[in-house]
Amino acid sequence: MLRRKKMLNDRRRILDMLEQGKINAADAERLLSALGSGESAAQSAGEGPSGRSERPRPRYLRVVVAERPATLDNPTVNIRVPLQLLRAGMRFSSLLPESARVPVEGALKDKGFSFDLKDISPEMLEEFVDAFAEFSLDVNDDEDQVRIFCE
Amino acid sequence: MMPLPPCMLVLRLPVRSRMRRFYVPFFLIWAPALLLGILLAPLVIIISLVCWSRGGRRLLLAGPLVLVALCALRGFQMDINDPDAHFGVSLC
Repeated sequence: MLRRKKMLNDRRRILDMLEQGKINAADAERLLSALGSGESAAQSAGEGPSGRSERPRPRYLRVVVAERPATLDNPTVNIRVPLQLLRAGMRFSSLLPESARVPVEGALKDKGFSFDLKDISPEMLEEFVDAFAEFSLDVNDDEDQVRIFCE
Repeated sequence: MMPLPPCMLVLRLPVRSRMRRFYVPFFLIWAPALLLGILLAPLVIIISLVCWSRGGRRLLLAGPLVLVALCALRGFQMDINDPDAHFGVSLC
């Protein structure tokens, strides 16, 4: 906000100098262009590598179950699991012996998940957890209301 | 950055038709557990090296991974408010 205000003030000063004749039109255009490129660089500084605004990283996985017509403020079941536990749990895959890992990968492949457990890198896991930030699942039936999301 | 291990376990249990909170200070057991770990570390290392080809490497890695998993439990919370069951546990 302060940066935006400063740039508006700088833009105003350039126009005032042009009006007073201290600079000509070409100089004013050059200065405004330089200011504009600085403004776009400042805007992109607040964005992530993907070009989107940085969202806070999710820290917990929440599972909330409420019986209708109760609201979710007073749920029947409220579970909060730290996503750090997901990262720690994935590290345990390195302890799996070959005799256990192969059947697990075979079972995953039968279900349509074709990947090697030992190929899961920390970067891949971080991407997976970051993708959870936008995950949300709502299930509503006549008796219960279930909501799963990350926060 | 790895979070600190949980310091307190809070249990919410029904006692005489009222919900009571019970606090279990985890921080009191971390120091003795750390001391025990340090005392047992040489023995674990020797066993791991002797059984290296038969899974000793996993034994050596399991300790730090268990510690990482325990630290990751900080912030876990579960509350059940069913008419038939009332129960709550949180690690903070």
